[in-house]
Formats: sequence, structure tokens, C-alpha cells
Amino acid sequence: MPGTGSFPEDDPLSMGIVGMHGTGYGNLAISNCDVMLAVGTRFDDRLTGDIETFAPDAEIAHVDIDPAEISKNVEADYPLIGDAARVLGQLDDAMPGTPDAEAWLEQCDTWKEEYPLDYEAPEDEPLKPQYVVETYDEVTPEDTIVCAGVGQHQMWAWQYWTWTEPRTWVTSHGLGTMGYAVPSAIGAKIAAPDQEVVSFDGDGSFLMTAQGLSVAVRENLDLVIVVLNNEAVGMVRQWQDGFYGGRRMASEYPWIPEFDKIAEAFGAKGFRLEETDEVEETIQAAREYDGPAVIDAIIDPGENVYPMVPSGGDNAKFALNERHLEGL
Amino acid sequence: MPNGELPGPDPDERMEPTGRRNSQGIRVDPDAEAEHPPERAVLSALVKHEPGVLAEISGLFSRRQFNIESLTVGPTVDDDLARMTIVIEEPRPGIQQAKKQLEKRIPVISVRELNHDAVQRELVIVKVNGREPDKVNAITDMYDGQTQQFGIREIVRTGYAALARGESPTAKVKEPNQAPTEAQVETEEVADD
Ligand SMILES: Cc1ncc(C[n+]2csc(CCOP(=O)(O)OP(=O)(O)O)c2C)c(N)n1
Repeated sequence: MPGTGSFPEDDPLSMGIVGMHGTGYGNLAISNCDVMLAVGTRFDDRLTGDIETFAPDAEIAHVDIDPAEISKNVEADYPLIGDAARVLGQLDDAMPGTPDAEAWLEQCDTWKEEYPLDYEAPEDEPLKPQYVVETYDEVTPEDTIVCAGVGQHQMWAWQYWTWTEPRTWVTSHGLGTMGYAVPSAIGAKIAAPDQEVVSFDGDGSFLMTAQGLSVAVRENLDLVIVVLNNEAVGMVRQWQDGFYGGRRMASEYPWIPEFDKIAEAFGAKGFRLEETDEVEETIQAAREYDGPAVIDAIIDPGENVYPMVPSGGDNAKFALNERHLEGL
Repeated sequence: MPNGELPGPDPDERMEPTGRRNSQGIRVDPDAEAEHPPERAVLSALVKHEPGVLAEISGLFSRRQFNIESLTVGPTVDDDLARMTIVIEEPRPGIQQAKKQLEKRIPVISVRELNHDAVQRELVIVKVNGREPDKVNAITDMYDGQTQQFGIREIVRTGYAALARGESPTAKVKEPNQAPTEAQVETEEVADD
């Protein structure tokens, strides 16, 4: 996940993101490939799922600067220790030519057609979080920095933003720290004042560090926090529905504050967004506001994140719906 | 589609790889069970003699769930350095990983896995049942330290201390009286490394 953006996703060769909430085509590609060039990955459990079924036909060339990462979780057939840019350059020099991968690329394209990240956003239904993320991506420059909290909103931001620039995805990755979205947006804006900053947050995550808005206001930081508000700690609710027979425990709130008003109380600009046909104008208004803005986007509370490989599962058997999850 | 569901063929309609890895992430013959069995390894680490090092190293072993048999630490002739002897029981990949993780720690100067012929000693103190200590001593001497016949009341073991034998250094540091820099340290690895 930290490498997101280092290879542009709009390139026809990109298979997108992989692992627990990766794309179907990406997960089928890593599961069925015969050679894998792995650069700077630690093969964490959210990527590999069950180690025994992880890329089981692949010879792995693992490039990493830290020898302790080599063969830690997955055996490296070719351990290459060094700086990624340098090693890749050397590998490129050493390649005698371009291998014939026509059949494989065709297969990859078929998977892309079979497993698109498709969703519908009808105007008469509750707002879809995927649509908010995609619209935001469309109206912003390529080098926009995107931050996130932890949960479903983080996965939607990761899946539905088209990553084309390195170092534009700022999230807590394997640490999984809710509350990351506000402080990381502040940090990103201070570190890169010339780049636009948007942070997708969940209602639960936002409640952990919303007070950071006071810093953003005091320092007059031009950033936007989009709270994808499903009135639940959604990722927990999704697991309770998928793996615990729908027994919801402490994952839904009987009442939730109005985040646009919280923003106003801090001296930031607040927007409330409920309608699909108001998404673009609300985003533009928040972007145009000079200073920190918060969009409280009231999204469909029933929305879940797919594809999903259950914890420790087989990547190739990702679920696309609840029926698949139950069968796994 | 409701609830974020996505289109696409079902799991059992998808292309499936033929291979398999074992739980250690190594590609194996799908029909054979080929796990590395656990083995005993003696690791010797030369570390900075400063507060917190023992906690850091034991924390590393517990976090990464290495199976540790004993861990001892003591000063060396150099006041700035201490030597740790760590006995672990792990499959070969786990032993390699333990060495690499140790080497990564800042206070760790060098790590070496000792050969089986290394000098290894452990002190065991045993309290046994018996009213006449002289006789107990005589009998245990006679039977080469065997005490079972008295019944053990309490026992304590120090854990192994070990040094590589002969010319082979346990860890080589060029200027032993200064805290060595990375460049000054040469770690000698055993043959299988
Ligand atoms: C500090 C912290 N506490 C708990 C968790 C476990 N956790 C992971 S996701 C999640 C739910 C997040 O809810 P919310 O921020 O509303 O995001 P949503 O999933 O609804 O988009 C929880 C509780 C965590 N990752 N970090």
C-alpha cells in the first residue's frame, strides 16, 4: 500500500492494487503469475493472505534495502539487496530483450474486463462513497495529496482514486491508526504547501482527532477533510455482518454529531453533502474556500467494501458480494 | 447493485494456480509435505553495554515469537561491550530471520551463529531431598551428577554461555577499546550462511 502511485494506474500495464481489498484482476494476476518482481514490499498479511496460496507458481525476485525483509514471510528465489531505483536500473541493463508476454497480457486484460470496480450511483438513492472519491479525483490535479483515516472510507479512497504520482497517498498503512486523517493532512500541507491536500475520513476516525482542526485554522492551512459519514464504525460493522452472523455490537451509533457544525465551531468552513447531484459543486466550493474545510458527506450506511479476501484467505478467491463471503 | 457488491465470476469459476507454498512461504511440491523441522541454534551477539539493550533484544524475540530456549548476557573485557548468548529452537528460515533481525538493532555490533563444536556451558543448581549433605555429595559425585534418587525439590539453570573454539572468533572487533563503528566491525559467518 505505501508504494501506491509509484507506477501510474492509468498505464495499460497497471493491475492496480492487490491484497485484502485489492482489485479482482490484480489478485488474479499475482495468484497466477510465474515470475514476480517484488520491490520494497514486506509481504505483510494484508497482501499475502494465506501464505500457502500466495503466488504459488511464482519465482520471486525480491528487491529490498533491508536484508531482514528477504525471505521473512515469503521465500525469495532471487534476493536483490539495494536501493530500488539502482537495482531496477541494473536489472533493466541486464535484460537481453523484452520477453514475449502477449498471452499473459491478454489474460490480464480479460480479468480487467471480468472484474471491474463498478458501482452505480443513482440520484434517487443514498450517496455512494465511491462516487465522492471518483468525483474528487476528477476535479483535482494529478499531484494532489490524499490522506485517510482507517476503515472503509480508507479502502474506498485507495480503490477509487486513480493513482498516477508517487508520494501522494498518505495513510497509516499497516499501523492501522484511526484518527490519522486530520493530523496527516496538516502535516502534508505543511510539507508540501504547493500541492492540494484532501483527506478522506470516517465518522469514527474523525471523532478521534477532529480537534486538530484548531491547528489547521490557526495556521490557515488550505486543506479539505471529507468525512464519508455512514453513521457507523463501518469496517467493524462489515466484519460483524460478514463473519459474525450479523450480530452488530458497538458498531452503530444511536446519534452522531453534525461534522459541518463542528468545523464551523473551530473556525473552519463546514459543508453538509447528502445528494448525489450536489457532489461536484460541494467539492468545488470546499476547494475554493481559502482555509480548512470539512465536508460531512452522508453516505449509504449499508455500503460495504469489495472485493474482499477474508483474513488469511486465498487471494484468488476474493469475495465480490455477501454470498461469496459466506461461501468462503 | 446493493451494498457495494461488484460484478464478476464466482470464486470457483476462476483460473487457479497449480502450485503451493508451505507455511514458511517456500514453494513446495503440492503433494509433498516439506517443512523445515525446528533445530537448535546458538547465536552469539556482541552488543553495546548500555541500559535497555537486554529489554530491546528480549522484546524483539517475544514480538516476533521466536522460540527461545535461553538468553544470557554478561560483560566482556571491554567495558563498553557485552556478549549475549541466545539459544533458539526454530526451523532454519526462522534462525536466519532471527540473525537478520538482531543485526538490524542499533546496539548490536555483531551476530554469529556458533558451530556445534563451540564451547557451551551452563550452570544448574539443584536442591534435592536428603538429610545428610555429605552423603548426597558423595553419591552424586559417584553417579556423575545424577540426583534422581533423592528427588528434586527446586532447580535453577543459568542458560548457556558459549564461545567459538580455537582461532575462530565469536565476533571480531578491530579496536576493542572504542565503541566500534560499522566499518570497524567484521562479522564472521558460519559456513552455511
Ligand atoms: C485507534 C484505533 N482503534 C480501533 C481500530 C479498529 N478499527 C479499524 S477500522 C474501524 C472502524 C472505523 O470506523 P470509521 O472511522 O467510521 O470508518 P468507516 O469504516 O465507517 O469508513 C475500527 C474501529 C483502529 N484501527 N484504530
